[in-house]
Amino acid sequence: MLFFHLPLLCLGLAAAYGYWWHAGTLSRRLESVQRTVAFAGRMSVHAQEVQTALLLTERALGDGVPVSEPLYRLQVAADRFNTIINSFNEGGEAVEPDLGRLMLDAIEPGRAFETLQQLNVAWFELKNRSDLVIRRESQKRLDAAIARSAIEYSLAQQENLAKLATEFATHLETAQQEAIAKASFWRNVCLTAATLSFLAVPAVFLFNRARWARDIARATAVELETKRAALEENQRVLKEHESALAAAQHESALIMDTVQEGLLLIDSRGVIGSQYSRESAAILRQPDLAGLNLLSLLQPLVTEKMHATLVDYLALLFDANRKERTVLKVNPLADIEVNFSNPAGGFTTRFLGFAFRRIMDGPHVGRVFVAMRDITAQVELERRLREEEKKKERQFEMLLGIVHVDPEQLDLFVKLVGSELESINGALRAEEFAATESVEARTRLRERLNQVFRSVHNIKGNAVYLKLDYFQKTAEEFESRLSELQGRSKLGGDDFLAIVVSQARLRADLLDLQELRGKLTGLRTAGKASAAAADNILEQLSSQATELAGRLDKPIETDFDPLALAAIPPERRPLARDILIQLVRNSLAHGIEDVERRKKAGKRPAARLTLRCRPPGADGLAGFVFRDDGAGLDLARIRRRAEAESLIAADSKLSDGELAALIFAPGFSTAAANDGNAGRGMGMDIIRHHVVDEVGGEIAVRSQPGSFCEFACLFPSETPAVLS
Amino acid sequence: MDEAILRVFSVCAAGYFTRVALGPATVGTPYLQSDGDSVAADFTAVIGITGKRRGVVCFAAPRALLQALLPAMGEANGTDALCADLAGEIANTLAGNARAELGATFMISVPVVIAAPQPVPTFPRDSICYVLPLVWQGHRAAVWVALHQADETP
Amino acid sequence: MKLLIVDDSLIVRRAIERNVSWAGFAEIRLASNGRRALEEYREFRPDVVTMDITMPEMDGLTAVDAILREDPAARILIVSALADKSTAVEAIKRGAQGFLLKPITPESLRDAVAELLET
Repeated sequence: MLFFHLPLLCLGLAAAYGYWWHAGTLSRRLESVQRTVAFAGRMSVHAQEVQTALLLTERALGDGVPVSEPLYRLQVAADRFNTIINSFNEGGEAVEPDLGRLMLDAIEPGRAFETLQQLNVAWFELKNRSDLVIRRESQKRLDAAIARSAIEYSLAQQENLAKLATEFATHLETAQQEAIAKASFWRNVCLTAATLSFLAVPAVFLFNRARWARDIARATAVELETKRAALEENQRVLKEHESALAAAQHESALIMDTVQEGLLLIDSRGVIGSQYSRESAAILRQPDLAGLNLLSLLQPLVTEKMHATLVDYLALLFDANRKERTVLKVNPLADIEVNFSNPAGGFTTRFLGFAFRRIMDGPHVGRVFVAMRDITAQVELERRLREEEKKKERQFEMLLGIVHVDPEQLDLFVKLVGSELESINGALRAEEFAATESVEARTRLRERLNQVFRSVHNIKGNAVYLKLDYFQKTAEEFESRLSELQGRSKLGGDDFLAIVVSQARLRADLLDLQELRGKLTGLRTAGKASAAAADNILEQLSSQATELAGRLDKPIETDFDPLALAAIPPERRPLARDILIQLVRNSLAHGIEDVERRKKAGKRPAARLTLRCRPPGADGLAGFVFRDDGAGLDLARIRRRAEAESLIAADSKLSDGELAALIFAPGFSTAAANDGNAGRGMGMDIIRHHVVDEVGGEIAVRSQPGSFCEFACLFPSETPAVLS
Repeated sequence: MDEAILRVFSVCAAGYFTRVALGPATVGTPYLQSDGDSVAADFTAVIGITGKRRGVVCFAAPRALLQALLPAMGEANGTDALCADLAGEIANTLAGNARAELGATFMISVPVVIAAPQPVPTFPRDSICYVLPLVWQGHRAAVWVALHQADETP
Repeated sequence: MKLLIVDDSLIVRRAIERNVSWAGFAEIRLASNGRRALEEYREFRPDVVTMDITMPEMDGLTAVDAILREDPAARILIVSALADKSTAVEAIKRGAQGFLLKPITPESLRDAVAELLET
């Protein structure tokens, strides 16, 4: 019996062993197939990486930054692709960082082989073009056109390459499956033989053992089958995942690397996720953002207040109970200033714009998508435009104010304001400033204040004369600041701060006016002859006097000799005009009576202003004489005023002439009102200053109470050298 | 720029000398820098300002003033290196102290000290530079303030 | 007891050094910016640090962060001219133990160092 059963048993055992062996080989082959297919799939990934690297290279070329990094990527991707495809072509070892090493056999002719050939054609052309890019760079001859040609080919072939690579992997798999199926045949033969052999052993004494062997064989078969199915399933899923993942990852990598925007995800604490665009690292000036907290990154860059706002806003973004649209509308980071501390000292100021979107996770806000851009150039452009716009508006307003003014007069005004500003600055920066707190120092500060006042008053007078409202307003503000200081009992250097600020404003206005004047030159015909200018001065003076008289309700007639200023050299005419402005205003404010009083005094209701030339005399002086037929100097009133201002002691003995001279003292005024016509008390002071102190002329006043007041302004008649 | 800001620097400058030196400094009458003016001091410390206002703040002083001030800091020798260091520290202190009024958005750089005859940076023609003169124990120094306000971002 | 004085001004470094003699530090070292301060701190392990804020290369607040990351027990006194309240608050928030405003005087320095040593 044993003879009969023994061979059967042996056959059964041999078959069982055969099954074992086949199953093991199959399992190993299955694993190998899985890896081979994975390697094949990698080719499309590398092809995509080649394209990314080419795009980055082109961008770097365009930005004028080094291309070494993208070119390195290009080289690596091309090498990997090449290794894999060559291993399939000729057999060899393929290496992938995450897949490890794998010996590949050269592909045998068949469907996979045909696809591989097509793949070769497409790849080697792409490789040639990439190699050219790399070679050109090493010769320092790389230009955008070369990169572009490679990119264009890559773009055109990308789909084809991906399709071929996938097709190749599929064919490869099918071929391997067929091989496995063949191998499975022998495995199944063994299984059947083993089963039959064991079934054919009837011996009772062997029954248990036979059953045992059969059970093992069956269990092994079932296990192997399960394992195979699991492996196959596994492989399928893995392959699907792998290719989907690789494609997705490389698509997003392509986007993240090339997109010119900072893109990242944050969680509710503000922590940045592992995927972010390269640009975001550049914007935030951090090499690696993953795991860092966006709020902490921004904290040292923004103001404390802004940071607190950010913290609050993040809470709102993650609060699912708030409507997203509402929250996004109040985005406080649409345009924020950040200040990166500069390693070399100081700060680098940039402007960043942030946009947010919620990413929902069920009912909760899981993450927030953050897009950011460096909008510095934009913000600065806008700011410049806004400033330009403001300046234009200001200039336009000023332009409306100056179009009526004769260009020559405008030039004179510009010159005057310029020289008065210089004189103000000279007064303020005089060498002997702030020599302790002595009485003397205080007197000097006061003198300086008076000097400044004279200059500003002169600017104002001229502005009124030319109807330059803009300057009149600025000068008036300046004057009231000065008046305020004049009223102070104690003056320190600090008190002049307000003045220097007003002065700065006036200087800015002057610069604008000069600029406008320059623009107007082209629009207007050149200025008239200077004799005509003299006429013009008289004309303007006359009309200004009439206008002012109208405002004061004191009718006047002007009788200005057309040659009244003939004795004044042209370069002094602006000064003569300044003086006349003051004299006219003075007459109207102080000298000329109102109509009622004139009638009572038996005078004509309209007062008469007369201007005559005073030709050069034996004294070497020449100039003009200005006269009004008003009430003359009120000497009693001058005395009262001078006493009140402590210019003279009470009851001091003064001649009429000495009393009259008081009207030229700084700070003296007989008018009660500060209304822009007179009354700031510096009018006569200015005249004396300009005529006597500055150019060494003479000024004479004659007055007949109740009948007239006459001023003679005389300048040295030889050509003067000095004029401030 | 308004008076209030200039006053801050005037007060800080005067305060520095009162606190550190043996006697207070007197603030002279301020004036505007005109074209062609240069700081013309032996030592000029320049501090760059960024933030809500941009520009520079300088402290310019003659060697004699710094040498007279060094003993108050405990230094016996008035070498040029120490003079430059002191000018920088004074500028830094003025600008830093000004933040008490102007706030943290008034951001200051580290000082850059320029010793004559090296040229001092010039200011653009249309920028306005205020000069606040100081007198301390007969020595003249000056604080230069050239700032313009950056537009408020909404 | 060891002291590390950090300031970009030599005069200030020396002034602080002279004015803490009463405290009897066994060794005092000086550093002129935040980066050097961090290096010195690692090697020297001082008990107390005085730290300026506005300095080249690495500012004082960044240096405070870096030092406290390595040694959370570090005792740091900020000595700065930055007079706004928010800077002082920020310095304390980052872990500095004291804030002394420049310009310093022997008295103000003494009070601040004494207070730091008490804690």
